[in-house]
Amino acid sequence: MANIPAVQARKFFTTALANTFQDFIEAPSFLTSFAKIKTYTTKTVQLLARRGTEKIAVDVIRGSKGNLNQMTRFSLKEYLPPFYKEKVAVHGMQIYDIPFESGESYSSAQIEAWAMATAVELSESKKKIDRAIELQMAQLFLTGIVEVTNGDNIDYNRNASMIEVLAGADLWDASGVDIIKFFEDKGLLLRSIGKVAGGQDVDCFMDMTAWQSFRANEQIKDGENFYTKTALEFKDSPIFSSTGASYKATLKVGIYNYDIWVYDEVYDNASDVSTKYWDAGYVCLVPKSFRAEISFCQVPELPAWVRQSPRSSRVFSSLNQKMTGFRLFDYVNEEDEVYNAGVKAAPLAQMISVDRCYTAKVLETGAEVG
Amino acid sequence: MTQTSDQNQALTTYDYSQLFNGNYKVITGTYTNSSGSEVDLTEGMIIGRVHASSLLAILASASSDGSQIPLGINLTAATVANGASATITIAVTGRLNEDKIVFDGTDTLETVVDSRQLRDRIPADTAGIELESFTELVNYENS
Repeated sequence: MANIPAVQARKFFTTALANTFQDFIEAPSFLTSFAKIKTYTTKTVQLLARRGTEKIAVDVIRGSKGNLNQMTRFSLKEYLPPFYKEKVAVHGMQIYDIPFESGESYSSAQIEAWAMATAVELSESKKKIDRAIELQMAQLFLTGIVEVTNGDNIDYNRNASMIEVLAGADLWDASGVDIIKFFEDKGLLLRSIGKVAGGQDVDCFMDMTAWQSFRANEQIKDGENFYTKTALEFKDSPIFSSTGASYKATLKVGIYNYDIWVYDEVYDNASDVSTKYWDAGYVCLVPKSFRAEISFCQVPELPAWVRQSPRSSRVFSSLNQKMTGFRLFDYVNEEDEVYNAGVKAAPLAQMISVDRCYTAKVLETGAEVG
Repeated sequence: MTQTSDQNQALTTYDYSQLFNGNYKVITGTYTNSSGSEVDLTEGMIIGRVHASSLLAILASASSDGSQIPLGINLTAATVANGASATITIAVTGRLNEDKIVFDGTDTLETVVDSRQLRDRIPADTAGIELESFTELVNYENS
């Protein structure tokens, strides 16, 4: 029988663990909330697109055969979403290492703690994928290109006129800049290229640096064109109930009303550098008629009879997960004494109405101002 | 139909517009390729007839053997080797979508043949082809 070192035993009698603190940081959902969420039973997903025109009838001579119209063109797009697979080593959790236990058997409290620890780690693993989805949405609004590490990027081919880099006197921190005119002019782009009917509400989100220039602008400061919506006015908008952005006010200029949001969320990149989802100095205008979808496609999976083998899986194989975006899995390798559990998903932020949003870089640098 | 694809995405565009609006009358004839190289016959090509041989030929406004006069619209897609012959079907009546006409070389509907534009010759010289213009109400997605 192994001896417990005196140092470890003394600690048990001379100190007490008063409190514990562990960060459980929510993944932001503001950008994701612009999309519907749908799950498919297929590996890839398709989109049938047909862009509209605004042709007008011209009167004809009575007795003539009239004008012949047709709707014969469409585009079929097919996407293979990126695949995410995050797992945890259940066998390696520290719950094994509780002192003063024999190791021959485990108490129900220990098993409960072990299950809880597994659930917490799986939840944190799922949040990694949630953040990847939020980043996909950010890329969709920023460039229209979802970046894929293992595979080809998915390019929605946004109209070049709908992604602009402002310069000179148009920059939001330029002396005497007319920001009201920015909203009036870019609204007309949404009307002409995006085919967004006038009078709609448009969500406008920006990072902190753009917001600081916005609020410091003389025309904005006078507050003449603003009003504040109540929670009731947002009705059941998923954007309002999402996390990560703060609603400031509604700007009534030009042909739309702009709900102003500040969004400055960050994630830790692969090098552990805190990185903004939404780039500094950028503004995006998204009308209510914008359409996007988080399409969860199916993931690589063993047949059910294999998964339900006692040696291959302990818990999650018994769950009916056929139509879930996130698939839980676990497996056992007794030779290596490995018990892993994880979550996998193949989500894609799919841009359905490609030109119904406008993006602008309104500051020359992303440096904090004001 | 056109298609582009890579590892994670594919784009296919479709055009279901028709050559004719409604029914049409057809005739068949022999096309002999004497151009010196392989010829791709496509749907919508304007076809004439060589007077001396009665063979069908792709309309060429500069010719003087009869093939400068429109007879009908080709409905047979075929690749014909140099010196080879093919039986092709052409429409000689019907309401033709003028946007679907395929000309050989630099000819257009405005090309003049014997003091008359092809736009006027096609209805007048064929058994009854009427040119119609369609207005397309939709467009493809960005590509």
